[in-house]
Amino acid sequence: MLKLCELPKAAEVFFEQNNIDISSALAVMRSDMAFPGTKADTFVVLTKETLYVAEGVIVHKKGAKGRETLFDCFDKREYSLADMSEPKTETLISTARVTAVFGTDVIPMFDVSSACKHEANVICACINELKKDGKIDEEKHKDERSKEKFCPKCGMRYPDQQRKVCPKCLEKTKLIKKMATLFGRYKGFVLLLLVAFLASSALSVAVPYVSNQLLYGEVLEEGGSMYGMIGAVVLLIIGVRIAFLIINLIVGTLSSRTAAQVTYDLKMLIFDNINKLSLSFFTSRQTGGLMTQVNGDSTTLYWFFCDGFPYLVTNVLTLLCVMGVMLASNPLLTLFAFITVPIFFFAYKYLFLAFDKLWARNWARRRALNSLISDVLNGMRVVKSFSRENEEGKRFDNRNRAHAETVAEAGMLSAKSYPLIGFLLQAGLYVVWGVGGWQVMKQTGNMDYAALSAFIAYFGLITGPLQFFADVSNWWSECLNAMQRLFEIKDSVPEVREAENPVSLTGVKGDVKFDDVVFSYEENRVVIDHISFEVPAGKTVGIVGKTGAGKSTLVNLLTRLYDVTEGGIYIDGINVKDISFKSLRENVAIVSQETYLFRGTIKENIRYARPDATDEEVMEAARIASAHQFIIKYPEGYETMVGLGGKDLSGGEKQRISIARAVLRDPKILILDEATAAMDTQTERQIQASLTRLAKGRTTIMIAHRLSTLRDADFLVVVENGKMPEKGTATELLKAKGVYYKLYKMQAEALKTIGIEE
Amino acid sequence: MNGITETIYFTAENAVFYLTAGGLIGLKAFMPPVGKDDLAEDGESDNSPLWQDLGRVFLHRAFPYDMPDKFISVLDKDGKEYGMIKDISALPEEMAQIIRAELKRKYFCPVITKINTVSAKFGYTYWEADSDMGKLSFSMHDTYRNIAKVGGNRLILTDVDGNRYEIKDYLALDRKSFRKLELYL
Repeated sequence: MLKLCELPKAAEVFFEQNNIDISSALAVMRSDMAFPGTKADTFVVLTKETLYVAEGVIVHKKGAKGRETLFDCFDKREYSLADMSEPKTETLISTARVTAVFGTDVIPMFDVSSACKHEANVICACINELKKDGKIDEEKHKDERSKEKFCPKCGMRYPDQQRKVCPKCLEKTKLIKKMATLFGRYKGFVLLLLVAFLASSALSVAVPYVSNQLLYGEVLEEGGSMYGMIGAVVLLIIGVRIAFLIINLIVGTLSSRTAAQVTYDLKMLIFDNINKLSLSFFTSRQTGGLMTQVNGDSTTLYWFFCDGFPYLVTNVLTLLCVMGVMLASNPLLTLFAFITVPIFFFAYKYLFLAFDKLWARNWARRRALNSLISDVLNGMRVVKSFSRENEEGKRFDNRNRAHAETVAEAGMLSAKSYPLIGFLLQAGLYVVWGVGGWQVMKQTGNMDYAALSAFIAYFGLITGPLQFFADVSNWWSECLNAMQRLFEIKDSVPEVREAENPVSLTGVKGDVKFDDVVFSYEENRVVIDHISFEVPAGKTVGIVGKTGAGKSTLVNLLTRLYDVTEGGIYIDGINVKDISFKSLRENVAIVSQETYLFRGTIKENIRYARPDATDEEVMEAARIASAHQFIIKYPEGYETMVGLGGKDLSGGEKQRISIARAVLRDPKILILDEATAAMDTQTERQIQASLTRLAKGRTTIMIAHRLSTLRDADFLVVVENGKMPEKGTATELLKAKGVYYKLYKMQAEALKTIGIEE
Repeated sequence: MNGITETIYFTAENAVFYLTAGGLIGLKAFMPPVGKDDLAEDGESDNSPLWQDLGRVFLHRAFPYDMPDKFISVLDKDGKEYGMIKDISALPEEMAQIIRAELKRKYFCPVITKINTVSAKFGYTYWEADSDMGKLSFSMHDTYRNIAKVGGNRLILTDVDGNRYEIKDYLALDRKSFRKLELYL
C-alpha cells in the first residue's frame, strides 16, 4: 500500500466499521480540508475499484476507557473508478480541488490545501495508472516520497519542503564540526592563537596585580619586601604592559588572517557550487536575494570568527582567571561583587528585545525608503512623462519621515538605557567599595588597602566579559543560522547531473532527435507534452508557436538547462544525458532572447565563446552577425565597454553581439531562440543571409513567432500548448489548413492592411 | 475611451448562472456565438448574439482585495474571458449566492482572529492562531516579505506551503496578538 500519510487508529477503525477493507487499499492520503472549503480531516482511500473519501474531524474524548480518539465523520462518499475519467487537481488561489469527469459532468471529489497538493497529484496519477495498467507502480511514487516531508528524528513536518531542516533537531554540533573542518586547515594558526590568548589572559590578570597589589602593598608600604624600589616597579609595569601589547598585536593579526582566509575559502566553495547548480535552483530563488545572502552570511561568519571567537576564548579565560584570583583573595567580597550581575543580565535581555523590535521596524522602513528611491530613479522617464514629480516627492517625504522617527526612537532608547545598564553593572563596584572598605577598616578577611585596590581593578576587568556574555547568545543564533544557510547551498545537489561515465563527442554530425519528450517545471503542469521530431544533420528546422507555447523550453532541454521528465533527446543517436557537459556545450550553442553581456569590452564579450580566437576571427564573427558596422562606429571600436555601467546598447545590438558570440563558437548545432526579434526586418534579412551561408553542414534550430524569420527553414514544427499538432514543410502545412495556416493567414492579413502582399 | 473594446457584462437579462451536476458553476448566456475562431473562414460571419449554454465556467476576481464582489471575470477552461460580472449583488439572489459560494471556495482564506504564539527560529516563524475556521498552526519563511499589506490595515499572510491567511484589521486585534505581530510589520 502506498501510504501518503500515517493513517491514525481512529480513522482505521472508522473504515473498518464501514466495511472498507484497509488492508486491500492501494493508497491512502490525508487532506486538511473538506467541502465546501473548511478546515477538517479528510481521509482518502484508493482501492482497485473505488475511491473512498471520508470527511470529518479527529476528536479526543473522555470515554469509558479513559481518553479516546475518535474520527467524527460528517460525510463519506465513494467514487467508482470504472465511471471516472480525467482525474486532476484543479489549482485554486491557495488551495486545490480534485475533480474527475463522470459521464459528461465534472464532479469535485475532495478538497486539499497547498500543503497536500503533492499527495493529491500522486492519487490522481495512481488512478490513471490503475485504469491503464490495473496496478500502481509503487516504487515510482515511493521515489517521489523519498523527498521526505517529515523530520526522521522527531516526526515533525519540515516547515519548508524546499529546505529539509528541522529547527527542532538541527544539529548544532554537526554544524560547528563542519565549520571546524574548515578551520582544520589552519591547525597551526589556531594553536598559536590559543597560546596567545592564554598568555594575554594571564597578563591581563597580572596587570592589576603589579600596578596595585605590588605597588601599594610592597613598594609604597613601609616594610614591604620591595620598599622604595619605585623605578624597578614602574619598569616592571611598563614591561608587563608592553608584553600585553605585543601579544594583543599577534592575536589581532593572526585571527584576522585566519578568519579572512576561512571566509574566503567559504565564499569560493559556495560560488563554485552555485556555478554547478541547475538553472532551476536560480529560478526558485531570487538571484539578488541569493547574492545578498551569500555576502551577508559570510560577513556574519567573518565577524564571528574574527571578533566573536577570539573574544569568546579571551573572555572565558579572563573571567575564569579573574574570578579565581578574586575568590582566592577574598571569597566573601567576590560574592558581594557579583550580587548585581543577575539583575544586569535580566535587564540586558529585556532591553535587547526592545531594541530588536525597534531595529526591525527601522530596518523595514529603511528598506521601504530605499526601494522607493531606486524605484523612482529607475522609472524617472515614466515619472517625468506623466509629470508626477510632486506626488513622488510627497511619497518620499512620508517614508523619509517614518524612517527618521524610528531612528530617533532607537536613539532615545539607547540614550536612556545604556547609562542605566552601565550603572547596574557598576553597582557591584559600589558594593565592593562599601564592603571592602569596611573590611579594611575592621582588619577582617585579610584585607588591606592594596588588596582592595587590586580587587577593584579586577572587578573592572570582568565587566567587559560580562557584557559580552549577555550579548553572545543573540549573536550565536544569528551565526548558526548563517552557517546553516551557507552549508545548505554548499551541500545542495544539482538536479541536472552529468552522467557517471560521460561520452565525449568527436566528429559530431549533428543529427538531433526528440523522442516522445515530456517535461514539466512543477508537478501537474505539463509544459511539453509528448513531442517527437527529428532534424537530420545539416538541416534547418523552424519551431513556430504562440508566446508561452513551450518553444524555448524545448531547446533548453536540448542544452540540458533542464532535464526531460519522460522520453529522450538524442544527438547522433546518443542520449544527451550521457554526453559530457563539456562536449555537449562545445557542440551546441544557443543565442537566446534574453541576451546578457558581461561587463567588459565588446571584444571580450564575443571572445567569451572561444578565448583563443584571433582578432580576425572575432571580426569575422561580428561581420556575419551584422554587428561589425555599428561596432566600428563607436569611438573605442571593439574596445567599447559594455554591460553593467558600460555603454548602453540597444536590444538589437546586444542580440547581434550574442549572435557573433555563438558564431565564433562554431558549433555543430546552432540554436537561435528569437535571436533576431529585436531587430528591424532588414537587418534580420542580412543576418539570415549570412547565417544561411554559415549553416552549411550545421544543424540549425530556429525559434520565431514572426513567420518570415523562418522562410529558409527546411521544415517546421508547430508547438501549441506544449503539444505538437503538426510538422512538415511550409507548403505542406499551408495545404493542411491547420494551426500554421491560421498563423500564416493572420500575419499575411496584418501585412495586407498596410499594403504588402507576400 | 469607452466602447473601444467590447466587453460583455453579464446581468440578469443576458445570463443565467446555474449549478452543474457536480455543484460547479455553469452559464447560459445571450451573447455572440462562442467557439468560432477570431479569423472567420470566409469573410464576415454572422456574429449576432443568441442564447447558448456554455457549460462549466470559471470565475476570477479582478480586484480581489478592494472589490471582492465586483468585476468578476467569467472564463472558459483555458482562461479565455467570456465576459464580466460588474456587481454580484445586481444579479438575482439565488445566482448571487452560488457565485459567492464558489468565489469563497476559490479564494479560501481563513481569517485570523487571535494570535496565540509566534516563535522565531532559524529564519522561520511558527504561528499558532485562532481563526474563523478553528485553530491554525503554520510556519512562515522570510516573514516580513510574506506578510502583505493590502489596502488599509488588512494583511495577507502566506505560509511556507503557499496557504494564505487573512487579518482583517491588524489594529483591531487584541493587544497581545498585535504585539506578537508587530515585529514583522
